[in-house]
Amino acid sequence: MRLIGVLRHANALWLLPFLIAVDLSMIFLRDDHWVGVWPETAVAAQMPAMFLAMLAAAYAAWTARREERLGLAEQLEASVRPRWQRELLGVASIAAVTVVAYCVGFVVALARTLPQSPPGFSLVPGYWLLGLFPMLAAVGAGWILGKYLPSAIAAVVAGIGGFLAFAYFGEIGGERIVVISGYPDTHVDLFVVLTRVAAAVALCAVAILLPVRKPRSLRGAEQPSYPWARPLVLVPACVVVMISVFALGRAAGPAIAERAAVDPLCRGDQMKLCLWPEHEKYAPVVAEISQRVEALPDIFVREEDVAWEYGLRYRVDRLDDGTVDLGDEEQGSSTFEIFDGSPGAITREIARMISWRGYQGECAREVDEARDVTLRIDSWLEHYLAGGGSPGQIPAGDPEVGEQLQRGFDVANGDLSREEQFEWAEEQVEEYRSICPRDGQS
Amino acid sequence: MSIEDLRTFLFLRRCWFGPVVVALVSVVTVVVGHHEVANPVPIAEGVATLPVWRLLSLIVAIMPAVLLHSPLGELESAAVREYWRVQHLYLAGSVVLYLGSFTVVAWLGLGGDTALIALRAMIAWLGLALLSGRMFGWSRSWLLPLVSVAILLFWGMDTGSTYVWWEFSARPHDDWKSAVVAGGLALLGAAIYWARSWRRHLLHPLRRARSLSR
Repeated sequence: MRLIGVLRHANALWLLPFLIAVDLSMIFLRDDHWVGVWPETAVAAQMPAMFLAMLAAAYAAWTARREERLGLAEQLEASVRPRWQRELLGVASIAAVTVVAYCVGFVVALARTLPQSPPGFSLVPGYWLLGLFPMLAAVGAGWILGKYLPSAIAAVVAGIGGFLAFAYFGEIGGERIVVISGYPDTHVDLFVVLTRVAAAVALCAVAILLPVRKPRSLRGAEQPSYPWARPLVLVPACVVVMISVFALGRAAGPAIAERAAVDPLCRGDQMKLCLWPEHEKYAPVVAEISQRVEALPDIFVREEDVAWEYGLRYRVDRLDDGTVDLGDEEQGSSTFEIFDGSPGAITREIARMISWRGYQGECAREVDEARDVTLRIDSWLEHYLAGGGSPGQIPAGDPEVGEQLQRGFDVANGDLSREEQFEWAEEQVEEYRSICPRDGQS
Repeated sequence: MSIEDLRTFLFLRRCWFGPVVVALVSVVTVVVGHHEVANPVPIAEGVATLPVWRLLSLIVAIMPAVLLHSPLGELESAAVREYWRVQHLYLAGSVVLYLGSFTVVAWLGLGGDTALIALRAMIAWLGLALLSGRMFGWSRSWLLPLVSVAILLFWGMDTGSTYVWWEFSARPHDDWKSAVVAGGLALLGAAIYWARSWRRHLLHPLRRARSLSR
């Protein structure tokens, strides 16, 4: 209780409303595809941690030598409390203010998804813990820099340096300091993340215990400039703890691990589309897509079919060099993904799947005319399955490919009735078969 | 104004720190400046890459403003015209020296286009640093530029993986809209810097809050 009493008067408190404002803006001033899916909600609330960490590092560096900067070193040297206790309060208050701002953002984001109460809340705490590490580590590192560099320079170096370090190790080093997508086929490994948080706390302890050079006025002949005795034992001890705890976490595996498959949520009869239960929000969209698939001419649809969301039945193997091995099932795989809440990705995958199973074969890759026809059909299928009615332009890429895609797009989104579209599609398939007579007969 | 005035002015500040920091940042920029790191952005498949030099140039940009800090700031704020002339000269000199030398180093190490983008970004951040320094004290000049980094990195990218028009630290070197933004921020900073005589009226509540919160 006493600590809370001290924190109430902490200088860092003025930072709190500002950090909350930054955090909430980063959660809400963006697209809202995360609403209604627990892991995505947690990830959206966890993303600002990287920027809160940057600001916390700068503020910690700025505060570390506040006593000297304000000319209080001499008076405080005579205080009954040892220096590390005063520093502990400084570090704790900045860490507390940053974490409170982060938690406020988290609670507000969770409240936004709560009314829809989808399954999968158990994935949320992991992402919350994941965001704690950069903030706590930034406070510790910033405090260390602030102890040995002039405050203003330490602040900007800590802020920029901290951000660059997290950005470097996070994505390129593969440590996943923060994540940007909460796919339901992955979860946060709590053990790994807890070891990270423990290592960050140890870093804060190092920051507090590191000795500082005494102010000039206090450097007498009888006293050493640096009070070494206690830190000489404690700092190496904390460093050892920090490194071993972090190494333990690294050895345990990646922070983001694959989840075991669960009972899927399926929609549709003849064409069954199965989702992760966490993606309950997309069930109505998927049901509509399934109905549109069932309405397609016979040329496209098999008797009965099932397509699974990525990770439920089928995973691609990610090789060590980062490339993806799609195996033999590349074109025909009955797997689709929902990228960052975009149902467009579902229809694209399903369009390719239908084409491959219905009429396409190897010839589509080998003969240019056949490729053009399949591009048109796939583009039409994709937009027909998405419901049509969205006139516009296909994003420009290769102009030849773009022209074919645009033709399919225009048919799906133009004035043609559904039956006329189907007639067009069947003509296209006939054209394909005249070019590649042996495909699609199996 | 004499050399003696300038020497007194420099004596009160850690003026040697500026060239040292700028030289160190320049060396780091040449060695690792072209490396790209990933930063989170709130768009589909949201990772954007960010060359390291973009953020390093910020450290250089705020140096002139940060080093205006003096332990006798309150006293100096009541100084006569001679003093202000020295301060203006010092600021102008450090801007030309630090920003100029970093631009030259970036030009030689990373190429002309990159150097021009870095210069545009530094001009904008300098304006923000002057604004921040006037509002919160010169040694807190880093505050607004650092906050601007969070804004630029998080919201600076469009869904098509292009930078939004006001992203002055990343748009192509010949982009006029972001140049106008950078110029506007620099002008704002300069105006706030020149407006010291009536800042007392303008920022009085802030100044009081500041002296209490220390």
